[in-house]
Amino acid sequence: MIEIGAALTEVVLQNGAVEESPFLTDYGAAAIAVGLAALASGYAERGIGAAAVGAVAEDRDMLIPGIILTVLPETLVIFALLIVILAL
Amino acid sequence: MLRPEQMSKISVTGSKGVMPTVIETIHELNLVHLSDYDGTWEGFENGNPMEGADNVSEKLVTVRALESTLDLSADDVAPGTLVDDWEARLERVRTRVNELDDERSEVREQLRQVEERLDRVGPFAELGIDLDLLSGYEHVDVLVGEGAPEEVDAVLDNAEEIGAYETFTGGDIVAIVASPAEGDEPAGIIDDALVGIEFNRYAVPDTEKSPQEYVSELEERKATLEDELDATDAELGEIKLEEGGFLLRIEEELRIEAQRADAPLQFATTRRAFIAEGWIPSGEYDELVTSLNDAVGDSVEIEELERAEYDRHGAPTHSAPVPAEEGGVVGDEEDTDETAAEEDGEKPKAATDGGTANRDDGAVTMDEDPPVVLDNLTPAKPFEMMVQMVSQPKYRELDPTLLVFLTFPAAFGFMIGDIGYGILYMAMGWACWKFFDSDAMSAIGSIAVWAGGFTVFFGYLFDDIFGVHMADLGLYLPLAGSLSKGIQTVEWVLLWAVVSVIFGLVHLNIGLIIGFINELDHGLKAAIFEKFSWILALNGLFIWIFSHQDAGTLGLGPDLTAAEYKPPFLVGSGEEAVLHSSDYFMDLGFAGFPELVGVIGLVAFLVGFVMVAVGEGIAGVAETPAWAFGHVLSYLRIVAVLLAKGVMAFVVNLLVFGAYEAPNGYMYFDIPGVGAETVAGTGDLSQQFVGLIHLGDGIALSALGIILGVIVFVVGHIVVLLLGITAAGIQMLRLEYVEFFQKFYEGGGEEYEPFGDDRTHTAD
Amino acid sequence: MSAGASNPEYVNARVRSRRAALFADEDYRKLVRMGPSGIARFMEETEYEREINQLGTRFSGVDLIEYALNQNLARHFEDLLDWSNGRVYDRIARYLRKFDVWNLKTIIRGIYTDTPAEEIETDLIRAGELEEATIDRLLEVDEIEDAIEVLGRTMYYEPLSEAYEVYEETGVLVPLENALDREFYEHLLDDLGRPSEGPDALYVEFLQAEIDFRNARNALRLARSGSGLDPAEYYIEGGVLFDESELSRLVTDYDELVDHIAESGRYGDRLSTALGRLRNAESLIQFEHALDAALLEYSDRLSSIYPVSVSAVLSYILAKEREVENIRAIARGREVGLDETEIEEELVIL
Repeated sequence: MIEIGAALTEVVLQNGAVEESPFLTDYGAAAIAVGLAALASGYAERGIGAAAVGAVAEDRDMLIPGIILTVLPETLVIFALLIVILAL
Repeated sequence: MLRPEQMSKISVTGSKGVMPTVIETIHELNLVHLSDYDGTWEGFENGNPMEGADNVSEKLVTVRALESTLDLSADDVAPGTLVDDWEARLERVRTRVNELDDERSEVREQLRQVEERLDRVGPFAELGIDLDLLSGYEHVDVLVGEGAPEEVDAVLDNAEEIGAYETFTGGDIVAIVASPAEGDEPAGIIDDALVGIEFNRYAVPDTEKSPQEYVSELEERKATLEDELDATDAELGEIKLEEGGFLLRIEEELRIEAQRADAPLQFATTRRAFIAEGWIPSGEYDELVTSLNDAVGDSVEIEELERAEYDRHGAPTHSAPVPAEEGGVVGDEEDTDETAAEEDGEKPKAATDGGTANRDDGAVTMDEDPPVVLDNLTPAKPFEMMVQMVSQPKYRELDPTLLVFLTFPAAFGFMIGDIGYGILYMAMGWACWKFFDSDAMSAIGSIAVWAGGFTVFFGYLFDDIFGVHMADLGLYLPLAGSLSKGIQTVEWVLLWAVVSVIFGLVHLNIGLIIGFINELDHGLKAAIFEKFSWILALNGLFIWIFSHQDAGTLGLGPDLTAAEYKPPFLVGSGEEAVLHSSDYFMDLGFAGFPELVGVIGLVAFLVGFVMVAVGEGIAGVAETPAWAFGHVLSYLRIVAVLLAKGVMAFVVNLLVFGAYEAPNGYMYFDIPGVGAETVAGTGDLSQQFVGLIHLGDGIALSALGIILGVIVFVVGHIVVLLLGITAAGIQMLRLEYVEFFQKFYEGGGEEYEPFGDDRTHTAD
Repeated sequence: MSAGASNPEYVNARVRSRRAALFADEDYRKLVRMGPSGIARFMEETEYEREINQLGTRFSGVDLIEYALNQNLARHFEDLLDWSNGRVYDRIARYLRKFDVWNLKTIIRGIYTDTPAEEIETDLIRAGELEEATIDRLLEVDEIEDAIEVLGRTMYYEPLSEAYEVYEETGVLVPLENALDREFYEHLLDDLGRPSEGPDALYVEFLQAEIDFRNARNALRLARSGSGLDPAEYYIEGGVLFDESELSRLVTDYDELVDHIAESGRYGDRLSTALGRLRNAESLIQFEHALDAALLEYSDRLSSIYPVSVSAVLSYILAKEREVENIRAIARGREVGLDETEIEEELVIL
């Protein structure tokens, strides 16, 4: 992750120096931001989802709490979206 | 509403002679939540199950096992009647079912063997060689299996130990006959030679028949066995129909008997007397007394020990006096023995006259916390489930159901805000409520109907139906469109951001106030330091945040409100300040709190912070950034979901219809039958996007575009609809559970489970 | 070995749910007053529903309870292996070998006492790694020597063969049983090394604790049996509490043994209640129960430090075993007419 981040920074910095038609437009940057946030929440949901499925397998009543816990990390994408919408 | 139903602690004392009658009466009432006696009083032991309990249990286990073997459920058969010789009949059923069950496993086992043999002979049938020809040779070795014939030939050619060989093939199956090179033993030579290649070996079945005959014989046998199995199953099915009602009826009888027989396990008993304690809704106490008096006259001592107060915490001295005849007190050990001595005779006056409670050490009453029966207005009832999902509230804390009812559907509706989706949510909720039996599902259904209703309400204000403004369809309704989601105007987004924060502040304040009231149980000081401190810190900080010199200055040198660091849309009198003036919505003219108020807020924050540090120590200090600031900002998710869902619906429509842009930047969907130019009132529109339905000129392309357009429209809106549930529903639930409940909720209350049974198979 | 990525979250969620369904101490208080059929009914209304219903038309009373308990135990532990993948699977499978050891011990003891195969079979818990077929073949064997031959390809063959020579000289089963125990415990720590932090360290710590307690128990048993065998010979490697020489010295003095456990930095502070009970234990049985309770308490602690680790699974296995043993003790006690206090002494309650 860190390496990709460093590489990205480099790309962005290089682009700053170039005058005409940047490699990464605002929209592209926004898409990357949202994509990374989605990746992060997906990773977070992986473990929670596994645990939730386990709990539901033992007790059907855990379905709703399981769903709620599983999608909590969706917050990450939602805030990323909010920031992107406000920034654009 | 905010409090659960009031409960009374009762005790019933009597001699063991009347215990069965007492148990039966209480069981019929189905109102008393029995307390477990924990065995700690001097001289009292837990009771033993009543006479014959073990026999009842044994029969009950048998009946239930039969039901499970027969796969019997209450819906399968009509309720039966109780017969006199039920024990004999039960025994007959048991024997018969066991026989059939044995038979069934026997047949199944045989069937398995036959199938295994069929599997084994399959390859040989393909080969077409008689089975007896494949074994029993002295000088050659035979091997049958599955593999590539060319590979087999190649390997066998090169094998030193093999003198001569021949292969027969049928399909993928290869039979190899080989004689060894000079003088070697033939056994196993082929097997050794084939070690290097992939070759699946099959054992030769032991029979003299031709493979085809053998297979048909086995298949016949299989059919016979399957018939037998069906017959056995049919017979079991018959028994199920014949005896099902009987079994269910017996089970209910025995279950109730077993429940009653085990009740003394929860009682405190001496050799001759018993004390039962339990909780009953205060309103029902008189019914209990009447019923018991009817059943056993006055030979038991019934007493309302206390009427549990909501603000009491453990100390019995605070308990409210019981309005009925005072003085009744649980007998201490001697009293009870006296009671016992008089057997089931007249009411022992000694016990009632004993006067003083023996509860000063809190030891005589069993568990202290009353079970909780939530008591809410009918419309709020379904929302109890949302609270119980966290945990059952405790008896002595406020029940937040009403607040969840007031906030959840409204916030959900605001976030989705669309007439079309709202109607669909209501329909889904109604279906859920109508077609599911379980309480949980019907509660979810009702919640969905409420949420859908608010979605329609806000949808009307937003003037949205499936993401399209009704005005853009040429439909102008009063007040419709008085609000906007802000998809095309950023001022609205900023306004909603500020509104979300304010809503968060109000919500959290309510939570803290509830927490303060709950905490009063632990004393005023605890409540002030642990809850009021947060109220000061939270509000102080945000008063300062919402302060601006534009609203009034102290005239000191430095700007104590730090206005220049605050986002201009938040406070101040600038053009962007959403609460001050706007082109889009009403002018509120609020430029923020004056500097003086801001400074007071800052002081309040600091005082609150110090109190938190005193009240909750280092943990409180560490939590301050989250509790006083982060949790409020967390409410911004409301505006985030509002935008995200709005934009998603917008994109779906954009793909399907395409859009024109007006000179002011506003996008009009290119909906057939609605002239965008007419709606916009200007011809100066530029096409921004061609929708799927306007895709082509040719008929084929047009048709394809329209079909695709319909698919995208339907699927797209279904996705938005379903994501709306997880996004809006769950984000709001999170705000309730994490941000709101954390301020006050403890939970862990006991469920009210009255001793009794809901009869289903008995008319009488 | 199992393919697939390790799935500790899933396994933990399921295990914790099952753990929550175990009987509470109040339930035992009721059970000790019930008759065997009452206990069976109580079980039917809880976690043991499936087994009791399956067996209930044919058996009753204590037999029903015993069969149901064993089936239930085997089902739960097989489930553990079904659910888990990758590293979690390996860790669990390794630990569940203790049921292989239990089964082998039971079979050997059965052969030794000429018990009929059916009777031996009822005591088996088929939850380990050995194949069903191997166990079935073992049940048919009449001589211990043949039984060892049947185990030819398993890891138990060599240690058993060695121990068999000692058995032939002395005629007691201890060497064979100890060989099994050793093989089990010493493989537990295979390729784990000595990690110093993280979930692995706790796993190792738990296993070390189990080995330590096993050593203490074996040594005491030997010392009291008067068989003249040297405790040091049966010392199991891998623990941290005793070394061989210490062990042979300590078994002669009970109080000193308990002091030794209490003084060790690792157990002393964490097990103060259990140690109190150890000190008051009057009989070997009570001592063993106190040790069981101590180990259970210890595993609980470890499993709460790293919530999503294999420790929670081990702690569940121990707790489930304890439950089954407790119910069995109650049922047997009621059958022979012990009263409540006598039965309560037989239970391992925290």
